Amino acid sequence: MTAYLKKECMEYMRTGRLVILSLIFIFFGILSPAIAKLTPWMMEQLADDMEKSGFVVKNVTVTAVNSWDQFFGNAPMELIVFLLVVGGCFAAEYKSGVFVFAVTRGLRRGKIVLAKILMLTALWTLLYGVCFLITYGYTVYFWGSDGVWNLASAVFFWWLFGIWAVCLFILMATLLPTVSGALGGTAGVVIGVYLLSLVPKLSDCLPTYLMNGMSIVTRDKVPYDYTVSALVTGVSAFVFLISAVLVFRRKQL
Amino acid sequence: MDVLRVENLKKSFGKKQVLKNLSFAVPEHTVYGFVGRNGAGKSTTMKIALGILAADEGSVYVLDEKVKYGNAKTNRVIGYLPDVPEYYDYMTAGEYLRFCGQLSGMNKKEIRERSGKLLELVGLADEKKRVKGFSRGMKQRLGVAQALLHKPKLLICDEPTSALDPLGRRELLDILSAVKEETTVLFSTHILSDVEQICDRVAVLEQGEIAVEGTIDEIKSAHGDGNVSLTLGNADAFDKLLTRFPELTRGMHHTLTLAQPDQLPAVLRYIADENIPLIRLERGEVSLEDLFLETIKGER
Repeated sequence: MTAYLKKECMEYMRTGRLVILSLIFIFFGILSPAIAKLTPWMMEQLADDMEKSGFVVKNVTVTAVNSWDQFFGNAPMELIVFLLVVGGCFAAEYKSGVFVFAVTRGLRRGKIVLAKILMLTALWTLLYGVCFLITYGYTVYFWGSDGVWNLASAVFFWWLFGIWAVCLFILMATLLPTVSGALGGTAGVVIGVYLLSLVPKLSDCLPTYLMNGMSIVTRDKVPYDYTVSALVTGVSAFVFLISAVLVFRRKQL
Repeated sequence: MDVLRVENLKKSFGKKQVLKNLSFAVPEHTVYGFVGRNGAGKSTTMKIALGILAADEGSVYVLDEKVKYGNAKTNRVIGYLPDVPEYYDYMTAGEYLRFCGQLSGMNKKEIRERSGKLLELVGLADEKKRVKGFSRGMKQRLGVAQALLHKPKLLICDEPTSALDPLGRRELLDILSAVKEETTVLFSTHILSDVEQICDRVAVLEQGEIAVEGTIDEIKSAHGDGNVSLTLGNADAFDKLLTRFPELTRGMHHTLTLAQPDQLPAVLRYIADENIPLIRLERGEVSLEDLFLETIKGER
């Protein structure tokens, strides 16, 4: 499996996907504090127009909370871009038939799935981490940490949601042979879970609840409130992973 | 000892039965030609032997170990070369062989030594560019190198020459002939001249079953010794001979052809008795192509 993992690393580096993803996540990392920083100026520019509509803009104050609000607001876009860039990791190998070479050399199919999951998990962790650290650095530099609570938990929960999405994507990619199928299937399940979360009794038990990191940052909720959701997310991600291995073991390559 | 043994293999795709009770065995250190027209079931048989396709019924054994679909442990001793091998385009030939060696559990030293030797054998030792820039022939030669890297006991080649130009084909056949000493080769093709050049044994797959099997000499002798052509100096004698021996057929340039060589002594005796000038007597070699066409015609 180490050899296959090394191959995966080489692939992301040599095909330029790592560079593209790094640039995108660095951009998002800078974007959140930048938007927060520019908010007073933007409001000032729009003040005249808004006044005509009956809104009066006065003394816009930006704090660290605004920057983190932007960070968690951008996170879904980061995850979507991430999955779009890595979306072909199974489909390309099905199409070219290179999986057959690995399997006929005696590599167990389960190890291929595990290597892919490990690679995507490491990539998501690295990129999301870089994005967070950039936002954190700028936010602390400009506004300090006043009014920001349990940031680590909020960031962790969003990371966990990302891992859940990665595992779901891997399962879809083992089930469906095309990029559009794998990404469409992933989007379908996420939308389905989101629709389920509209049922009040279910909302705090589902993985989508973890996306609401700002409620922790602003102390509307405490990390403990996310326990059930985090457990459901962890267990379902594990189920996706096992299912992906089982599906891929029987898949005709 | 048989390196590969296929027993009563059956496989259908939908309503179409591709393999019907297929059985054959490949003895050690032979180049075994697996011949059949397109869609005869050659690739299906090979994929089942590699454990990447499930059989409906029957079994395949590699060195007496049963092949299991999904995770075939038998692949440890098999090298596989498909018709159009695909690679990770961003790797060089050396990097790809290193990757293959690591997957096969070889140590660094083994990989380095074996890669160097094989890249030399397939003429890619000095090739530094990535696979993306390789021609089809170069890819096929790299395919041979990767297939032989872990010194497999069985090399499965699925129509390896079909996508190559004459030069590439020649090079590949030379390589396969050269590796005959160290491994057993199962070589599927529909190019019969390739089989005649490098195979020791041959099996013709037709309608999901083995129609003919044996060494090339055995098969040829079982199907007759080929025809005999007689070139006569006197065109007037044609009608005489044709009347006396209706099994003779008229050919070009004063030539008569005798499809049944067992009639030859009688024909020659008649020619001598009648003083017919005989310019040339030629025995035609029966070609594998004739036998193949005869076989599939008979099965239709």
